[in-house]
Amino acid sequence: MINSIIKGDERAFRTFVDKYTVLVFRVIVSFGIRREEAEDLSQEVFIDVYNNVKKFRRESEISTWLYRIAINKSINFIRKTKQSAWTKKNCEDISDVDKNVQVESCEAKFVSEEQRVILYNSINRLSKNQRIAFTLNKLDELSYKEIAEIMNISVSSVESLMHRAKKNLQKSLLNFFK
Amino acid sequence: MICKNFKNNILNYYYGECEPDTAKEMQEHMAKCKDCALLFQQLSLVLGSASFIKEAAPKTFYYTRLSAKINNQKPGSIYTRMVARLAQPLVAACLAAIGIFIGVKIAGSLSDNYFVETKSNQSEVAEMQLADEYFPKSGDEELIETYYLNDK
Repeated sequence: MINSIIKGDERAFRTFVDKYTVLVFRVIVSFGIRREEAEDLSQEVFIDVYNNVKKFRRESEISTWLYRIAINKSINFIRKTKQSAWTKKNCEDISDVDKNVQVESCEAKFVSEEQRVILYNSINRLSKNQRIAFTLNKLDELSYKEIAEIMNISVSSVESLMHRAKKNLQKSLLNFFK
Repeated sequence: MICKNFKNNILNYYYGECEPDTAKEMQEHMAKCKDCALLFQQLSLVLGSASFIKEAAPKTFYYTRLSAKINNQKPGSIYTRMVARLAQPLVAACLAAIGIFIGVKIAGSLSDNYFVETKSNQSEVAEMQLADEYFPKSGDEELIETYYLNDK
């Protein structure tokens, strides 16, 4: 597939996009980025792939490469905007977006959004690597081995990051419910 | 198990990563302690709120929008990059030149003012000296009374 994309085969690129759209989109959303912005960012990921596919060295899986680009884009986006989407300020916008997707009562939706705000506020207090490891493991459900490949670190380093991330998150959440 | 130990293991217990014995103790503790049971319930709701990610998907016609974006960037991409690469140093150089020009202008006007001020100060001093020579200072002038006394 990669060879066909390099040759400029649009059908191959379409198949590639169809295969990985949801994966890329969910990774970006899992970092607390709003759906609309996540769609733009995910498209940027595929545009990067389209423009730089010749530079892909095939040392890792294509999905690993996609994860890396998606994570970098998400982290940069959060850094630029100084906050993730799940803040109280943006709650109303999010509920508008979710309106079409989820069928929940208004009250339940408000409660779940409040909980997402608490969760992402706590996750965003973690260090960059802890946040990436925790998000990929607990929210995207990737194994430690997969995370190690994506982050280009050893499995034991991922274990250590996860241990610290859980401790810090627990502390942060317990402080909130004190 | 005491509440402190319960709280120390609460996240691992939620994710099912506790030792079986610890998990059993946690359950027993929750049966006894209402506060800890409530805390676990609240924490479960917060951590479980991320489950929406599993359902997240982009809107329909995703590829159509993506290919439109790619086509839009295609013709202009090299041109835009070239312009950006050339324009950035040019703009920076122009700004620096403008900055230097303004700096020189300001410095020039300040030194002119200083020169004019010093020049005018010098002329004022000269005028004062002339005036001093013409009008004798208070110490030099002879008292009128003394003049009259001497005259007598």
